[in-house]
Amino acid sequence: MSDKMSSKDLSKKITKEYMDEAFHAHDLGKMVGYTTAVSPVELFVAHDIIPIYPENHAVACLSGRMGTELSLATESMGYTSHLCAYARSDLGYRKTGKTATGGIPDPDLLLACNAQCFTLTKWFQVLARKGNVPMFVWDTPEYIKDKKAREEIIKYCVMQLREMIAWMEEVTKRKFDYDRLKEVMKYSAESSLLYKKFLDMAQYKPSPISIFDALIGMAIAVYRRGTQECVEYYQTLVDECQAKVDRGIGVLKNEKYRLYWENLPVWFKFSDHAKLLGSYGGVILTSLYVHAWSLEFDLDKDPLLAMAEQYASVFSNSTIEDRADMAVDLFKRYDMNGMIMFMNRSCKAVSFAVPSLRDILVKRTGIPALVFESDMGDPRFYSETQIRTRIEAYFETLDRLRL
Amino acid sequence: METKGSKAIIDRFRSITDNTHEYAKSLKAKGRLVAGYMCTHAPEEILYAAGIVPLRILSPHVSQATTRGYIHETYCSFSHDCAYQGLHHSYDYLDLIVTSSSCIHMGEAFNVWVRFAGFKEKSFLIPYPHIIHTKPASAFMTESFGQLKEFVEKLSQKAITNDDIEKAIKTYNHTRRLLKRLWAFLRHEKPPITGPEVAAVTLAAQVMDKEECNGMLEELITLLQTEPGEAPPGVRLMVSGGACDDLVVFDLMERLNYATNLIFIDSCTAARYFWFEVPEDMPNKLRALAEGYISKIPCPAKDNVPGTGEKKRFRFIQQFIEEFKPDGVVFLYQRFCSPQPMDIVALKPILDRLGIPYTELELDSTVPISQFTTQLEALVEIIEGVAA
Repeated sequence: MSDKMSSKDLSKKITKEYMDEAFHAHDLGKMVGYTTAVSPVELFVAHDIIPIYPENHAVACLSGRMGTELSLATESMGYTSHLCAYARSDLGYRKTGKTATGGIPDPDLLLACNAQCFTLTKWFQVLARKGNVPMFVWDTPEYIKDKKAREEIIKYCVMQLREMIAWMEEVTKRKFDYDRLKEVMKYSAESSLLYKKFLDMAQYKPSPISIFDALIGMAIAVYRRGTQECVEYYQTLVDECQAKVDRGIGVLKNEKYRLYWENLPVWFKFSDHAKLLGSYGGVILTSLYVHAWSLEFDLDKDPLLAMAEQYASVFSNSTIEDRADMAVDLFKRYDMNGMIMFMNRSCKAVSFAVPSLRDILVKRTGIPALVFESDMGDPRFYSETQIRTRIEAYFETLDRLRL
Repeated sequence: METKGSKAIIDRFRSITDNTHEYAKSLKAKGRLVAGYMCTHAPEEILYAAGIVPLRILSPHVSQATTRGYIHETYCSFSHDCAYQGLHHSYDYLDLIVTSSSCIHMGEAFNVWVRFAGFKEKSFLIPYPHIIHTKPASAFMTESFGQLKEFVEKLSQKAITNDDIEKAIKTYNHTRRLLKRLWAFLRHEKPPITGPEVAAVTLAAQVMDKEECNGMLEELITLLQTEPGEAPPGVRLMVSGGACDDLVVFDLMERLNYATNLIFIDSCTAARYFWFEVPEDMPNKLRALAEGYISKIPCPAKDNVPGTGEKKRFRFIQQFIEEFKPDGVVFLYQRFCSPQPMDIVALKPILDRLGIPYTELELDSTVPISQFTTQLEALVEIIEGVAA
């Protein structure tokens, strides 16, 4: 029997060591930097700042069905229930101390990148004011479809990254090491490609992974990007998936519907959705969201330029045409025959123009779409019967189309 | 009976606000090109330099469900209303629409116009930084404004010279100064003009040819300087918040069962529209525009002072409080807006320290008169209780 750790155990080990280090950062002479899930975290890693993602912690709390409790605590402070569920969860955690995990350490500095949304910036401003903590916003204007405009956007983003490095040097009183950045970028590039390879396992029939595997599997890509253990983790994960492919093992024995999912998941319905869809022979294979970390850094370029190009063009900062192209590419490569589009009241950025996107995708793929509305983290806005009925009706439609 | 003096001019401004389409079509009949804009961060001067009249897209305040199939319901009513105007073809006479990438809500409204209202070939999205008080942002904006200039030159088939832009800058700065002077009347003990009237004039200025607007403003200010104030001294209310082009709300604030005066509005449809100037006579005109627009009181979606969580707008709000001396503040914002209510949570302790009571009104397509009246009267009662 091989003594090589499974990806599951490796993930646990990496996460434990990472959080232990974060909680003891000051004892180790390090700082804790909060950052957003899509951000040039490689700069933090290269500068020995431990990145912590309040979004990840929020996901853990929301998956643990704490969304309503934490939201109510946040709303009692005067915030609206229309606010992003991650922000509501985090601000509620800070008020009550309640968490589904061991919590997260307080930040020494904050980096917000608005390629995902502008609420993150506002949320981090609240944390900056609360803790009197320095904050840097990496501003990524919408990556519009115009060559000249894109060149200017990237130039602007690179200029800001230089400012960010100067800011980190000022906060930490340490010189930034560009050679170390190159090394970090190498790990980041390698792990990102492996992560993409893992996601692309969904192309096989039956698919050895569902989006639920991808959502669990993406965690390390988010918070350990730029490290050697991140590369090791994804190599292990890819090897395990390949072994399943070789043996013909799929998520479902009788895979009937290979589905695309638009938006973030409904975190507190994670396993329920997998079971419900599975009972109809449906497996959700992918979404643009999980592909946000399928980064392809060009290591021949200046690292700052390589980062700017990748992070500014992430799907949530792209035009509808680009989003549609990215999704259609996934439809073709994974041979999908259904799509579920979630209008997430909690995330206006990812729900931006979903009706437009639905129209384009239905037209280009010829596949009908199911659209439903809810909240990614707050069960008060989830209508169990209505959504279940719609899912059932959707599969009936797909069944009719197959006949 | 025919109104005379300043009231006649105010009525004319109000009529333009209430009949924007008629006004715009009259400009078209004179051979002018008219461009719609959806965010006050769009540099109108570039359009004006090409002989185009910029006109702000405003909402119709009609309860409707048409847009729900295009925009998620958790986007603000202002964005839904603006999108509706496109889908309803109310603005089909426009030669162009522009917006700067501002908040996601208005971005969605713009998207609906481009995709579903026939404006694809005559639209321009100005790449615009979200964090505007930085050196890189200035360079980026200068480049973006250059791209807009090129686009407008192609559309209007007219080269825009530096002199054209300089003239536009001066015309617009003049409007801004005149509007500031108009608002300054509300600082008087007995102002010769009311807050709702000033709000109506300011809104009209956002849809008017600025030369005509300036002429009317000059005439109005001259008349007001000679007229005695009529408004009774009452509880002084200041509004702070997001876009609100529904003048009914402001009228309501002076029609309560208590004596009240609306004395200031910090919003992008009021003071934030004009409370800045673009540097004049700079050699690089686009750079001048960038500097000017950076100096604007930022929208909460764009407000971040580098290195801190501090808000530049908060400093302005405190300055307005010092200058206009409100007894109470009304936070007025669009339902489903995130940046505004998040800032309000941080603003409340500042007002608490200053001892200024406040209330919050959430806007939707139509104004809930009874609800707002109750909330506003409760605020006045608190203020009077505080004063006693």
